Amino acid sequence: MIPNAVASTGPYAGLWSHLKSIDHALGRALDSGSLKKLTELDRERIHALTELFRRGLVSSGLSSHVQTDLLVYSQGGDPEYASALELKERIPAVAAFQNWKSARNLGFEKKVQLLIEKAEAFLNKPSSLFPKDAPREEFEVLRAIVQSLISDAEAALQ
Amino acid sequence: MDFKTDERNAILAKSLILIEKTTSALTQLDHWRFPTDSSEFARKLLVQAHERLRNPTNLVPVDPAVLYNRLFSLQELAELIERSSTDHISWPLVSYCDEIWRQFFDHEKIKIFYSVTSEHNYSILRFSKLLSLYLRDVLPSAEISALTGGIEVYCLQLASSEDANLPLYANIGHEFGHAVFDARSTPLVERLNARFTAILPLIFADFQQMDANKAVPRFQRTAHVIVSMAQELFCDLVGTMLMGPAFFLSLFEIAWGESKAVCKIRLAPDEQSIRAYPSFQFRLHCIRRWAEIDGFCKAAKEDFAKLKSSLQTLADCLATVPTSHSDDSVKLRPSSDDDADAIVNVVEKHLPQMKQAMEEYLEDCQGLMMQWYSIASPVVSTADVGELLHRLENSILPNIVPTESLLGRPATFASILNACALYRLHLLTTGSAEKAKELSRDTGIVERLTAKAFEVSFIQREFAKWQGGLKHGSSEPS
Repeated sequence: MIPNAVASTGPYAGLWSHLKSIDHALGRALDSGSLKKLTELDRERIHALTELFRRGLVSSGLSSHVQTDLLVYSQGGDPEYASALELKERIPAVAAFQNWKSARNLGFEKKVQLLIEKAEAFLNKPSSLFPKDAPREEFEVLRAIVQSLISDAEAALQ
Repeated sequence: MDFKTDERNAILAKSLILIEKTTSALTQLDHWRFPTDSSEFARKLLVQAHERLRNPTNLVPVDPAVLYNRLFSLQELAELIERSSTDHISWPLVSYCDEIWRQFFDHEKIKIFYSVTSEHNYSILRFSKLLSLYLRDVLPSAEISALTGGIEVYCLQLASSEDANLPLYANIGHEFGHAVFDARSTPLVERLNARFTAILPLIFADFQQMDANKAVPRFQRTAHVIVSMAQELFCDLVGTMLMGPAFFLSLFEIAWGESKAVCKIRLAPDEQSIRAYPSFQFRLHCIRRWAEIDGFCKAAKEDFAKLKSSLQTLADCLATVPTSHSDDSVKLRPSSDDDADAIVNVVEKHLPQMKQAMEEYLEDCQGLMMQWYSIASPVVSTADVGELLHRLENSILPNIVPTESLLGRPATFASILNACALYRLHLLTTGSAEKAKELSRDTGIVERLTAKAFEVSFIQREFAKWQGGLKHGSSEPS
């Protein structure tokens, strides 16, 4: 059988599709040559990325609030991938992340928080419908990270 | 043609073709073959989802590869609707299931439709929730909310070899338990949390000791394991409350031939897909209590006295099902997962305390269930089951329980189910290889009698309701 990511189903296909849709939205936001506006779907996918990273920080044990309350973990919500993705190991291995603000000697948590803040600030701006206002440098780093995670998901699909 | 840009266009074209094919196939289904109107509702929902997906405005921000991938998952939902047909699903069963469903839910807001699976088992699936999930990467949330309109749709998948599966009908009660858990998850998980207050910090501390950097994600995944196990036990409780000892027998039959001492965990990339099942022997231990098996056996000794001697032993057989669970172990899949060993070690270490907390939790759940719903307790009487067994041993339809009147009264779904499950067990345990043909014929007779009894007793009850309505001046059944 020849593995075919696009035609796969199941939890790993859900992860792959989740990450691909985020990557596509970042790509559209970075396409400053385009006169097209970003849509609600684009904004929601970028928001999904900030949520994934925020949870990733908690999962990495770097955030101050660790929940030992089962109500947080009831099964009904949307899929959460942060605890299985091991972002603390995966993100620092991405060259674009390593090189970004390397001169400032910021730690992993601080850098990820800066990326989240930049993306959220863009989403909260009234003009966030326009790609020209997207924080290019940060979005390029984010895109590199997401593409690395997509490669991992594709390997898991095989 | 330039495939630097045309690959995207080609995938979009394939997606659009698939949307057309699926929409067309769904539209062509004959709605007269749907077992209930809810299948039609599910079909419309799925057709409308595909219509929204092919809307050119909605297509603009979509990655065609993601769209194509999600369409394959939507295909699985379409197949459920295609298999929702009276060709494979019996009307009396569906009628009884709908009746039980309405005990729990407002059918306008939380619907259920029926389909079949190729597996020799039953399962329930959150159809509308899965639909929303499959659409979230390709449609904005406002569009998805507008599509589903806040209505929950479930799909109960029945075993396709249904006629040979009648005694496993009791599992339907367990499957309905999942929908009850979804609808009442907040109070149910609150109670679970209260019972685990002392254990959770110990689990977290163990993970921290192993590897502080990985303690949080491992704890998060273990928390999902605990919730999943608790949900399975809750569903067993619901199955027991609805079906009585038949559910106990049904779960025991599912466990035949396999190790009953293993607690199974299946990890997944997303926490919501993590599943965990307590060992069969612990589940049977819990059900034994809630199905009041010991009381049932005691009363059956008296009520089964008029049956032939080999059938009288059925009064004791339930008590012989092994329910000791002190040797439980934990297995996890996939074993290649980086967290596998750590989670297995910690769960195994705390398993005795976890099981005690789960038993206390089930006590809370039983109280809540009685508070929320009107459920008969006990769900079956041994006297009724004894009467139906007496009819079965003479190959007479087990649909009537004799009373002082000549007509008797229609047997309940649970009574028929319990009598047939016990009678079938008697046949299976007393049959021999030399008499395989007789055994096959006798079990065939029992299965046909069961199916017919469900049908006739349902019609009798509907008739009684209609007649009662006439007496009160209405021309329609009440």
